[in-house]
Amino acid sequence: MAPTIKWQRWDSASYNWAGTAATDALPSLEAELDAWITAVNGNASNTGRQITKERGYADSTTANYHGLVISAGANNNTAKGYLGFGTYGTATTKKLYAGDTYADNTTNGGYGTISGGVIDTTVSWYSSGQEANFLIIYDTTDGEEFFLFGPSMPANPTTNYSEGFYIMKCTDGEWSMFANDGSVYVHTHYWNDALSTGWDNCARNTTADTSTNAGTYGYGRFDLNPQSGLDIADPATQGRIDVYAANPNLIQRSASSTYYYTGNRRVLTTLGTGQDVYVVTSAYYGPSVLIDLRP
Amino acid sequence: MAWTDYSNTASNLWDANIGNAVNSSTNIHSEVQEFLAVGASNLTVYPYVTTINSLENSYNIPGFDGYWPDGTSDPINGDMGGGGGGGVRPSSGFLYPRGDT
Repeated sequence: MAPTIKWQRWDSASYNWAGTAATDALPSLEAELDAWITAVNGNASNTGRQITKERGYADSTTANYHGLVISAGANNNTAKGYLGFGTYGTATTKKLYAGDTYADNTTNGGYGTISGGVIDTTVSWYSSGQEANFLIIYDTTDGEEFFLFGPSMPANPTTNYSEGFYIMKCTDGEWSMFANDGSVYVHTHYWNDALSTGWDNCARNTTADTSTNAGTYGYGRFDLNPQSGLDIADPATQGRIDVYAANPNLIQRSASSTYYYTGNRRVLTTLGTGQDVYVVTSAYYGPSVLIDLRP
Repeated sequence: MAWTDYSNTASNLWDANIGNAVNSSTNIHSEVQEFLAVGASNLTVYPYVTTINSLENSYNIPGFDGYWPDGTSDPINGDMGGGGGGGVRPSSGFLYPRGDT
């Protein structure tokens, strides 16, 4: 099944990340995410790997707390990983969480607390007063599921559809979840092989790195191609077994340096001008995820 | 406001909407510059991109020592620049033989 690609723009007067109307930004994003979750949870491969939206826009109890908490199941849903993406405390920054523990309560503005992993704080973000463009790409095919979200705010040029998040089924049949701000990222993947079992949370430039599986430098086992030097810098990654996105339309690479704009499209230099490859999420020292739209 | 579905639209037709949503004069180019500023010596260090999506179709290069053999072009982009023995070592981890990091 070809991926579904949707895009929406809010002008500076209408964009409201904190808004609760169906047409507002976060509710619009959630409506698409909810539909995707319902679809993929019905897939045979996800009987023991259910995706759950633990929190959404409607759970906010405090001003400036607006976001998502998403869990992914593994090991017949007894082991869950958690991804947090949203403004948790201020209107002009967002936080990214990836962890394997979740305090399911009303703290943190109604969103509970993700722990046992990594946190990226004070990520530049606009909740209102700026033009915002949201791009989502997803597939519900059993065994090849993914959901990508990338926002773009021209007033904040580092967004560029890249400061988003993804939920992705990998070649080992387990879920990966990732969120980034263009240079810093948080990431979690459930491993179940000879090296380790459990959710491994890794990140770059994080304020916390408490996963027992995480590497010395904050890089745990990584299911995407790491940048050159990572292996040398972090002995913990040696011996890893890489897995990749299960969906054949997704490309993953290690760094974001070789794509650029031409003709208003993001084009990978290595694929040649005019190739239809779109950058969705990326990080300077982390993974990039691209959608392959070539014929 | 509503979502616009581009699922069946060729991406080269995105220019009037998605493509123009961000200004081509900034953004990616600036990202590249920032990337360079934080330590990447040149862009050719990281030219390797692949459509590897499973272990089955990954590149398997027996005895690969981290450099393309003399006269061997990059199987991904056909570029000879990274080959020639002693050329730039590919950056992507998957190109390394497992266990040889």
